[in-house]
Amino acid sequence: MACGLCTATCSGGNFADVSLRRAVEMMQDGQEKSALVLLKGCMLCGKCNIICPRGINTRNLIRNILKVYKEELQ
Amino acid sequence: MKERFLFGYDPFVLPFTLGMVFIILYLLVGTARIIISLTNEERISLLKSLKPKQLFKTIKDVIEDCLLHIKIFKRNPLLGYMHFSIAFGWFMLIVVGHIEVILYTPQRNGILYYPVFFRYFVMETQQTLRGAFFFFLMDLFLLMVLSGIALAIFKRFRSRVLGMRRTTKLKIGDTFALYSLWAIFPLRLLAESFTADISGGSFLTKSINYLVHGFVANPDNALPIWWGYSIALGVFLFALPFSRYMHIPTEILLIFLRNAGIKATSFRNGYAEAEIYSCSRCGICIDACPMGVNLGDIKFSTVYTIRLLRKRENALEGAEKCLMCNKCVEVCPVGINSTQLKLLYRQTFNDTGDHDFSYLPIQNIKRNQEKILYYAGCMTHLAPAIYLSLFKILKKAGIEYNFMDADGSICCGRPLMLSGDFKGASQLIDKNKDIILNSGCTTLLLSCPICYKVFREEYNLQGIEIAHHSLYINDLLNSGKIKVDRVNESFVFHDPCELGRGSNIYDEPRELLSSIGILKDSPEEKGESICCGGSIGTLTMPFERRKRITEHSLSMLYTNNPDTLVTACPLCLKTFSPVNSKRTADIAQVVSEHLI
Repeated sequence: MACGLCTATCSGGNFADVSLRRAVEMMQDGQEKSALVLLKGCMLCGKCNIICPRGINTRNLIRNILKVYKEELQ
Repeated sequence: MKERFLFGYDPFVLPFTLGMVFIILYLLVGTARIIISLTNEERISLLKSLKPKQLFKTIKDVIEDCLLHIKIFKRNPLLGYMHFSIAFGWFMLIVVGHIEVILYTPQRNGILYYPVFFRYFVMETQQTLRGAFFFFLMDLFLLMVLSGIALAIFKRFRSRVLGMRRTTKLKIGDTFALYSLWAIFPLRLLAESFTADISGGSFLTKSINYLVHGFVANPDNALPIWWGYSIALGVFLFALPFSRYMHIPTEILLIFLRNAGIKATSFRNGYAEAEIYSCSRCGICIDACPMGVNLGDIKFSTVYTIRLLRKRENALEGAEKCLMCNKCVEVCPVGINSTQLKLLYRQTFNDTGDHDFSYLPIQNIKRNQEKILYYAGCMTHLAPAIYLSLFKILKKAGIEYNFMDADGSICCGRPLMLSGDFKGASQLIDKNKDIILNSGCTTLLLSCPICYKVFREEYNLQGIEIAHHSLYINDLLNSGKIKVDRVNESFVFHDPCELGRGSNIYDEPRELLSSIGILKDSPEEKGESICCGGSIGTLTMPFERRKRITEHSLSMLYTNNPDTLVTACPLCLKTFSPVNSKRTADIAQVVSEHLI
């Protein structure tokens, strides 16, 4: 629902442009490449996972996006 | 006592002899393969461990684990007796069998099958005291094994009586080995009883011989039973490499390797192979696994993951679903470090280096007089009450500190490491290490057990003391720097996986809590505490299933109805508090509320 709690709490987001919310939106728009850039700095600390009000396994989502699109774009 | 047959041979010994030759060759090849796949340093340390003093300890461990099964005795005496009676009884049957051959028919010494079928090949010409003594021993140990087998058969159908809710499902190799193992000893009893009037016997065999005497008037009629006994042994020995009973020989090798200080470096070869083949699939880890509350997840428990690894099949789902809470390692009677195997397995698939941390700033904490550096870590930033309480305590004790990640933390690297991405984790570790070393601190204070484990094990911070806040506050209290009120509140302490099993800290938090209020215990605590379900160890477990684990863990903790659930991990705190109807608090919060 793009509430953005994940991005608000993000450890990496403190230092750089890391945002799961925007990455998900970009994925929906078909801009996988820019989504990847936004997730590269993720430290997988799992804070977004705990905070997510919908109980989405965000950590695994990030892992899978990185894994799947890395292969596709190269 | 003398021999009945001139050549000391009968065709019925063939199934056993072939099986024995097969298994000896198989074990030699297997041992050689494991030793070859070790690195040179590992081989050298294995050789070094064969010095008398260390060898003595290794042999003691082998006797305790493989013969006496002390660890299983501690879990459940009846289950322990079952394993002990079969292993020790069988071992003694073999030993006494050889002694008999050496004493009475020394010319046959060294023949593989002779000690096993001794009673078929000899006849008693006159009763000797010595013969009666050994026959008595043989019957005694046979009775012991039979009692164990009876328990084992009973356990197949009613495992709960022996303290196990679930047992492992069998595969075809296991089935062959299991049923032949059950058959061996009753057949041995019958075979020895049928010939007891010729060879002599003792309280067991002689008595049965009287009962069945009419059936076997002609001694040749006993031959089919001897055939059956030999075939059962042969089937067992041939099925052994394809069954779980491979743990019997492999565990000895594993103990030698472990005592030489060798650790697994790949998920399948070398030491890992010894670990995988040592898994007896006893199923103790199935009951221990927190995932067991979700019925569909039982197939991901350690025993089945190891079985997939052994067959070189894809075990990724089980390895990624695992919470890495280490409970299965804690309860494993063989001492297999399955969490390490799963981690190495994840590493082979996930060590991608997809992440890029070049953006991280080079933070420089101003060097000053404060000798204590506090690192909250990601999770503690989600529960600021923890560090606020801790700061209150530090202030009361008059201790100056420096807050390393007040403006947001760089992750400690453990979450990435648990996902298998060691490359990414090492980047984070280097960054944090720089900051810590530049600060000139002597103590690094942490609130999160996840960080605590990785700082101690991977950072190599020489000269810097690393302390978890539960230890640190307890020290402050013991040295009189802070004082607390005694109140009439009851607590239960939940051991976080990474603090308890991960770092072996059980007593200090409890000591601290019992100086404030009444500490109640829960049925599964300390080494057996159940993961809160929030673990970052798991990669693929969905929210609903995590929640059921949390509820189960909570219901165990509230067995004795305490007022407050206390934990020492921000992640456990965040996981429990939405589900818990009563109060959940961190140990620092509890102390800070009762400061005087």
